[in-house]
Amino acid sequence: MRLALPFAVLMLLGGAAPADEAETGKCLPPSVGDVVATQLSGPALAGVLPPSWKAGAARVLAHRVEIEFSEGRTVHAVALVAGSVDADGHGPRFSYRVVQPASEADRAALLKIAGVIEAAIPESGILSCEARPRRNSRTHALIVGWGEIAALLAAVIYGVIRGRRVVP
Amino acid sequence: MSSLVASHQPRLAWWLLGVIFAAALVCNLRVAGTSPILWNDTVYEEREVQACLRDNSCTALGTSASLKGISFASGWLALREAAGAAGLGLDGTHVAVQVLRALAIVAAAVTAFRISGLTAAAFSMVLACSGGAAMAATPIMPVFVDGTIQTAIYNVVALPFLGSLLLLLCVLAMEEQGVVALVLAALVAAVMANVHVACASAGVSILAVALARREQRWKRFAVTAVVFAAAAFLIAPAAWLHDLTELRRQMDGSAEPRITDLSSQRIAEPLLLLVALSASWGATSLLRGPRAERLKPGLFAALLIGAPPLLAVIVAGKLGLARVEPRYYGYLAPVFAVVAATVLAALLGGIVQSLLVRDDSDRAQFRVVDRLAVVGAAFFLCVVPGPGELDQLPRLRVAAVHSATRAARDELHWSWLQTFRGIKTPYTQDALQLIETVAGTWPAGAPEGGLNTAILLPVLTGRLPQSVLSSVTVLPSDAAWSGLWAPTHTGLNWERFEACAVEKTGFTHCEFTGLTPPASDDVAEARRVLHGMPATTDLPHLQKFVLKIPWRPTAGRTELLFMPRMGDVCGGFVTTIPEGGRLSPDHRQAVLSSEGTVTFEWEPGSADCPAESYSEFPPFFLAGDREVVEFLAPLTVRGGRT
Repeated sequence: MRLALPFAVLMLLGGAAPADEAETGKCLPPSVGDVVATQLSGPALAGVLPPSWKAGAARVLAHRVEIEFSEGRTVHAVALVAGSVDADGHGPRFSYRVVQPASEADRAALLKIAGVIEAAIPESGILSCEARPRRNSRTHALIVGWGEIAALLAAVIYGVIRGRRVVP
Repeated sequence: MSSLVASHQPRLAWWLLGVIFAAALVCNLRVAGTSPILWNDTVYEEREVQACLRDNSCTALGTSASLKGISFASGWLALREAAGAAGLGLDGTHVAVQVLRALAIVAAAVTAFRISGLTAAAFSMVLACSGGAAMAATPIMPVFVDGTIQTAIYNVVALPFLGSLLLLLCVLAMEEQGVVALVLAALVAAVMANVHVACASAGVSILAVALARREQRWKRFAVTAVVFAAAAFLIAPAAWLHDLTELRRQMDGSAEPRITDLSSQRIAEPLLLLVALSASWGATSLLRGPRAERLKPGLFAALLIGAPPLLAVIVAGKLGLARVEPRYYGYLAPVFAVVAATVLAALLGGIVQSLLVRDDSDRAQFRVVDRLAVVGAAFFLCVVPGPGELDQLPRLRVAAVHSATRAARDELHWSWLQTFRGIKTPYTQDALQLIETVAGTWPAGAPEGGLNTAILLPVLTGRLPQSVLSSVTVLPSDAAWSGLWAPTHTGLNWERFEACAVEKTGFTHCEFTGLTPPASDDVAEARRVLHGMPATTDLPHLQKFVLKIPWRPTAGRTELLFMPRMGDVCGGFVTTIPEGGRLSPDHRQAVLSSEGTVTFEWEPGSADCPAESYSEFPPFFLAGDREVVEFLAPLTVRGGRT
C-alpha cells in the first residue's frame, strides 16, 4: 500500500462560489498553483509539517486553494479562501478553513501550514475578480419575472382570441 | 379550410376551447399529480430561488449545469422567483406548470384548427398532451421519454408551453400584415432563449417567419430582430455578456475556459452550426415563390420552427460535435403534434370525402362529427392517460419530503445534524439539500438512545400493502407514488467510518470520514459529495468501493440490514459482519447482534450498481429494527414489480 498520496496539483478555474466572490471580490490566477506546488514539494513546510504527515493533492479553484495531507489512512485538509470570510483562522490576505474534522493539534498544524503557504503567494497572486454583477436584488429579479409573465399572458390572450377566428 | 369535409368553419367556439382546456388540465394533473418529484435540478434551482426571496441575493447568471462554461436559465429562475413571491411553493408551481401545459394544448389545438380544421384540432389534443407521455407503454412523443418532463420542476418543463405559443403566434404572423403577432412571437422567443440557451434557435426561426411574407418583409424583419435581441438581452444582460465571452474563448482557444465539470461539452461549435442551419433554412423564406406559397402558412411556420434545431441535433451528432439531449428541444413537441395532426386529419378527410360524402346533408352531418371529434378527444384525455405509465421507478414527491422534514423536526425533535445523519432514502443528497433549503430553524436535538434513523421510501401507490406497521406512516401521496416514513433505531456509526477505494490494479486507498453537513459556502458550490468517497471521474479505474462502518447494539433490539435493488439506485452487498450475527448467502441481508465493524461493498459499473447511479455519497440501503426492515424490504423492488 502506498504510504502517501501521489502528489498532484489540479488547477481548475471553476465557476467561483457566487457568495464568496460577492463577499470578497478576490480571485486566484492559475499561477498560484505553481507557488503552492513549490511550497509543498520543497523544504518550506519542514518546520510546521508534523513528521507523520505527507503532502497530498492540492486544488486551486477560482477563489481558494485546497490542500490535503495524509497521515497513514487519515486525511487532513485545509482551504485558503481569498479575502476575509468566516473561518477557523485568518492571515493578512486569506482566511483558513479546516476542511476535515480534526483534533486541536491537527487543526493548529493545518493553520500554521496555511500561514506558510499564504506567505509564499505574492500580492500579484490575488486578483480582483472580473467586474461583473453576479447577484441581483430581489426587486430586479421580480421585475424581470413579472415582465416575462405579462408578455406571455399578452401572447396567450392575443393568440387564442385571434387564432380561433379564421378569415377566409 | 378543410376538415373531415371541405367546409368553412369560421371560428373555434369558446365552449370548445373550454372543453379542450379542462380536459387537458385533467389529463396533466392525472399524469403529473399535484406535487413534483424530487429531482436534482429542482433542488438546485430552489436553492437559488430561496436565496433570492429570503436573502435578497438573486443570481444574475442563471445556472451552468450541463454546458461547458455557459450560464443560462436566468429567465426561468426569474419566473420561479415571481411565482415564489406570489406565494407559490414547489407544489403550487407544479400545479401552475400543469395549467401552462393545458394552455399549450389549447394553443396547439387552435393552431391545428387554423391549418386544417376541427378534426386536426382533435388529433393535436391527443398528440400534444404531456409532450412525452407513454400510453400503454408506447411512447407517443419520443422527444423525451425520461419521465421528468411531466413530473419534475426545472427549466425544460416550460418549453412545451412556450413552443406551442410560439407556433401559434408564428402562424398568425404568417397570415397577418401587421406586426403585432411578430412582436409577441419575438417576446416569447426571448423568454425561451433565457429559459434554455438551446432555444436561441427560436430567435432565428422567428426572423425567418418575418421574412416569409413579401409585403414589407424587411420592415418586419427589422422589428422582429430588434424586439427579440433587446428583450432577450434585457432579461439577463450579465448572463449574455458572460456567455459571449465564453464563446469567444472557446472559439479562439487562446484562453482557458472556466469549467467546473470536465465531462461537460463545448457549446461553441454546436451553437454555430445551429445558427448557420437556421439562417440557411430561414433564407428559404426569401426564396418562397408562388409554388411554395401553396404550402399552408401554418405548416410553413412549423417547418421554420422545427427543422433547424432538428437538423442541428442530427448533424452535430453525426459530426461528433455534441450530444444534445432531446429534452432541450421540448418546445418542438407541440410542433410535431400539430404537423402530425394535420397529416392525420388530411388523410382521414380524404377518405371521408371520397367514400362517404355525396351531398350537402352528408357534409352537415360530418360537421357535427368534427365537433364530436373534439369532445371525444377531450374524453380520451380525461380517461386514458394515467399516472405510473411514464416512469416505473419510484420517486419521492416533494410533498413527501416536506412531510418527512416536519416529522424529523417537530415530532422526533432532531437537530439538523441528526437529520443529516439519520434520514435514509434512495436520493439522500437531493432530499437533504431540499430539506436544508426550505426547513427553517432546527431544534437543539433529541437525546441519545432514541430513534436515530428514519427510512423515507418511495413506493408506487398501487403497491402499498393493505396494512402498514404502526411505526410506519404513509406520507401524502397521489395516484402514482406514495412515501413511507419509518423512524427506527440503528447502531451504525455514521459520525466516523472508513471509506476505501479499490482500483482495478489492486491498489486500495482508505480514508476516515463521516456524515457532516457541509458549510454554507460549500452548499453554494453544490458540494453534495462526501469527502473520502471515490470521485466519479475515477470510476473507469475503480473496481469497487468499500465502507467499513462501526456498529454498536442498541439495548434489546435486533438490527437487520437489507441491500435493495431499486433500478437507478446503486445496489451493493454486505461483505463482513461482527461475530455472532447472521449473513445471508447472497450477502444482501444481515442480522447484527454484537459490537464490531460492518463492511459493505459496491461495484459501480456493474449490473447491480449502474455507473450513473453512483454519486460520491453512501448509497441507500435499509438498516434498522428487524420488523421495520422486514416490512419495507419487499417494497424496494423496482416499480413494485418482482
